[in-house]
Amino acid sequence: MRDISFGQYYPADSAVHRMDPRTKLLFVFFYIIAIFFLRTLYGYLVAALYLTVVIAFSRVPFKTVLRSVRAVIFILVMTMALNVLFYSDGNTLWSYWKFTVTDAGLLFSGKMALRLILLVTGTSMLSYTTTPTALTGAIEWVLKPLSLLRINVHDIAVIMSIALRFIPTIQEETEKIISAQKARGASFDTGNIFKRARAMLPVLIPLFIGTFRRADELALALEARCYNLSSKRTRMKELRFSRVDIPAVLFVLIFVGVITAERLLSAYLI
Amino acid sequence: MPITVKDLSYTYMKGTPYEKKALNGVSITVNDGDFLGIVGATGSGKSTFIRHLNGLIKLEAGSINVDGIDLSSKRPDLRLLRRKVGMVFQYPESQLFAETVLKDVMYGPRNMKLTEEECLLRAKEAMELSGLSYERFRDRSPFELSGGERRRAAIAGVIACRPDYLILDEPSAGLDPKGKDEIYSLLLEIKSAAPRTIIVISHDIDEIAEHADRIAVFDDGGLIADFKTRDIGLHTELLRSKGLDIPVTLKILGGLRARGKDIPLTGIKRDEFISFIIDEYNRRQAALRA
Repeated sequence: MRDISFGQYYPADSAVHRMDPRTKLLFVFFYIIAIFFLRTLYGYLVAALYLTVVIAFSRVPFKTVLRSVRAVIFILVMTMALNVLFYSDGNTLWSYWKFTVTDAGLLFSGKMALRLILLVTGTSMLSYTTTPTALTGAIEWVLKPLSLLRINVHDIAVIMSIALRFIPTIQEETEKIISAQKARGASFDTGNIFKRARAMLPVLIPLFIGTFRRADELALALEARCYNLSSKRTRMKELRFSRVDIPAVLFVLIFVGVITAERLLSAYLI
Repeated sequence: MPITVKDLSYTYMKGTPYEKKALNGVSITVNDGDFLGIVGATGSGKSTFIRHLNGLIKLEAGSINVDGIDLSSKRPDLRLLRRKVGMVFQYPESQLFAETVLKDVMYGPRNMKLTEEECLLRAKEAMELSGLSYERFRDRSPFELSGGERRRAAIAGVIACRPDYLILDEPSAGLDPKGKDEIYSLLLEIKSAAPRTIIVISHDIDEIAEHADRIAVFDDGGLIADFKTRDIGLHTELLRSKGLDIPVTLKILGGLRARGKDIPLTGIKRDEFISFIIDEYNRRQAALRA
């Protein structure tokens, strides 16, 4: 349970941490689009280099960043295996029954895997360097145009920050209940999949009851302090673009430029 | 067989910025039949310590031997260990899940793969021992009970496994004075029903001094004192210096002593304290009459 690092904040004092969360959010937005634009291995190299520079600036250890890949390792292996076994273009290297392994298939699945790794590590950099509060602030800012459609953006932001705030609490609660049931002799890792699912009930039921109770209490606490949906709120720490954001934006522009060039020139690069 | 702990150390979230040393070289032996009370400030390592005793935390440094099970060995038999060591966590009522109290109390014995009759027998016994009448409570939903009843139902669920060692983390937290008394008289009853070892963590030194025979004091991840309850008078300064309270009886005796009377600091338990005061009073009356 403690291994879940995806979506966790890593405290450090670095230029990336100090950047405005809105800039970082836009970065990740462009980065994701760029990753899907990539065609050649050179492109992946550029993206990997870019990410390496960002990680180096952020002072988050590489080992910690790579840990986020663990969350998607299953998807990674599955997509690779399927691509290798069923991709039919290119020169056949090995074949058996309906499976063929081709050189182009290997290259393609390698690229797919790289893309997935770059996506996960890149986006996890956002959560490693941005506190949940700053992140919801940024999302609220991005969604602001929606308020023209009479959608209460602040509400969405509050719901999101509450959800983020309670992830560790619920995680802790889950661990506690698992420990308590284990102490009564429960075992969660024996038997077939149905048995295991059934064995989880004594954990899930108290967990749900506890979560609903907590939600009730929180709602009461909000109301007791006169939380009002319609009022206009200000934040304690206003988001401000700072000096770090300017070179950062330039850096991203260069990256986007290189990726666009790669896309246009891909025909000549292969 | 005793529980022997030697040089136990543990660090949370090792290798991350959240790293925190929770235990630092703790050594203690808990003998059979002990009623050990553990006191210490929040974050002093008490809970981390007891979690080690039934294998919920993997041993990092040091050694633990519970009734012949060596936790420092490569693959200790955790199932056997958990059968011997019953653990009641803080707010144990949050672990209740079944539709009826009886089913919930039977959960532990059923996990031990006992026969249905044996499970029922143990559940019945555990419920009665916990002060929940089998007839009245068996078919009630644990979620409609009062706070104190739910706490007792949860404790019944643990003692139904008939552990040799019973460990409780803040068993009386959040209960009213009557509920607190009921929990402790329940513990004493469990202890007399079978000569069991009981370890209790509590913030309330009055509770501990009243019921435990032995007190262990944790501070900042270390065990800084370990003494018989009747000797607590010798450790007043230490407890105070660590921001911990001393029993109210000891406060009164200490106050009398400060007024220049030669008073021993031994009558800590409620009954002892009362008879001491009555004796003093009688002696004084006799002296006046003479």
